[in-house]
Amino acid sequence: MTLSINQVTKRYQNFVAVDNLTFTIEKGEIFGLIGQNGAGKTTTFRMILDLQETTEGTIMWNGTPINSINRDLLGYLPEERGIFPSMTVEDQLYFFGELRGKNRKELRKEVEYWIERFELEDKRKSKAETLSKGNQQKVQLIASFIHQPEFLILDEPFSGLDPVNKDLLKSAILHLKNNGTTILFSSHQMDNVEELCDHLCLLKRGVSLFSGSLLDLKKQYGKTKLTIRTDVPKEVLGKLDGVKDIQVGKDQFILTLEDESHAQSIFDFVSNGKYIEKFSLDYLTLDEIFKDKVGGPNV
Amino acid sequence: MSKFWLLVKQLYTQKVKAKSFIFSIVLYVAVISGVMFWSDIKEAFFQSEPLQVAILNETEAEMESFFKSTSDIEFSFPKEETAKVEQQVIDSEYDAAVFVKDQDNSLAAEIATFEPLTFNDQQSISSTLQYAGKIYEVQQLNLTAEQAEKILESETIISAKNLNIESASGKSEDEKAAGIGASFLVGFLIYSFVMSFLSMITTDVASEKGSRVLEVLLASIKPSTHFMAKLTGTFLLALTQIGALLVVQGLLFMLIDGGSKWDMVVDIANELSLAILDTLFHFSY
Repeated sequence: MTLSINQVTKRYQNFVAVDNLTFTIEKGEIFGLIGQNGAGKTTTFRMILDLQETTEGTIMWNGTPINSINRDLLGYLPEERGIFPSMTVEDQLYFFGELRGKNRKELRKEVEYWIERFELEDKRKSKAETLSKGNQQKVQLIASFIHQPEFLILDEPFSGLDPVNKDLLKSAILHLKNNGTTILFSSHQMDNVEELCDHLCLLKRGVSLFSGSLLDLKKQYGKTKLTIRTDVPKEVLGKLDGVKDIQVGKDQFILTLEDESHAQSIFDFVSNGKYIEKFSLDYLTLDEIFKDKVGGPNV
Repeated sequence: MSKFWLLVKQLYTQKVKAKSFIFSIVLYVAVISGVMFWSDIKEAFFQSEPLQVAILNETEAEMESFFKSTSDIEFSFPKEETAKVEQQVIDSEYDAAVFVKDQDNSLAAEIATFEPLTFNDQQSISSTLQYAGKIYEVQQLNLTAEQAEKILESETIISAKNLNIESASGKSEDEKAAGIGASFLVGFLIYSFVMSFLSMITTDVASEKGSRVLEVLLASIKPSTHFMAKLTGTFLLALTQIGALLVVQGLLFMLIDGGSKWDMVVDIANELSLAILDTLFHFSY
């Protein structure tokens, strides 16, 4: 066990921002903290970073209270504007690296590597304030891990990035994970969480609705999402046993089943012993589970 | 480099390159130079042509040595008729014409103008005429030129003796007033200096708080270290500004006006040093 959050509560007078939160993160794991705006994600990050005290509960790193560990072990990417606007990209990276205990010689190779990897070579002497939002996000992201932290906290790291840069970021996160960095991150973009996370915690108004592996969360719902491409009419499919709901896609039907045991009989009916172009039984996506857990599609 | 000095260096280099810092030095130099060189500036920008005054001498005496031209008034001694000179005054060739004549062994003068003279010009001409009148009367007594000059230029030597032992500094009222004025000026400069640098610290902390960079910094250093680094960086910045001001202002004082202002500053510094030593001496007893 690396990070252990045990029954942590943060209270502001009568408002409870985080309520009795408990989860653990193992070394080298990517852990997702997901929830709506105001769910308590950033407050949790701040308590881990010792920027705010907990009202109740403990936060430990390898068995040591987090507020007494060497701060250079940590890396932090805030949600936005975590860099100096009037400093150049290169100076910024050296500054934050040195601030976390590295010297310039140690940093040179890292700075060169990440500048090249994030395609910022032509921006290295540009002031941060002159960069696009996406490039600023890339700079502050590199600044958060340039010192090779053991534990990295990323608050909405995909914010403001286009699909190409999102892929760059994902590959960087996986690179860090492979090098043994433990990563805790939050995101509203569930596809990214689903792609990267081993484990996650789902927050709603400061309360943990689920904490554990992504697969366990999906198993709670079972394989109930059935996608079929067939000539059988919607009305007929909708009346089959075990079908709760049916949606019409572009050239396919998406059926929601009561449970996965009905899939076999539906397959037999639709295929009727013949070739069928598409019949796919899946878990619900994290996005669908999230909407279900926190209160429907209007979140 | 420790985290503390890293933050100090970051703040110092960021601020020292800022346009506002350079602008504030230029502004201080401009204000101090403006005050110190006011008379030169005034002369350069507001100097008008000297007043043209014609002197028509109807006496037997030689008047040209009585009326010496200055930068403010230029005297000339036309030989034309009175009517013609008056016409020249009307035509603005002269600003004024002064007709001097003997009246019971005293000098009588009439000032003719077309446009009224300013109060200052009127005063200047009047005092010159008073001086000329005295010389004229002395000449009527048939004294030698040296005797006459000695009488006219004689000045009583006045010195002050302070009998009050308690106020041994013996400063005159003028010196005391000048001291109070200088104290206010220095006090105001210190106040504006302190306020500008305090506002720099608060603005800096507020802008870091406004962005999330403060969170990133505080995730790796203690808040007290961060604040001390801000204070130290700003203090070094203030020292830099004072140093730059002293160098630039010192060079200006030394190079302009033959270094007269520099001598003045040195005198003031000496006076201050003596005063400080004097105060220390009193405190020690």
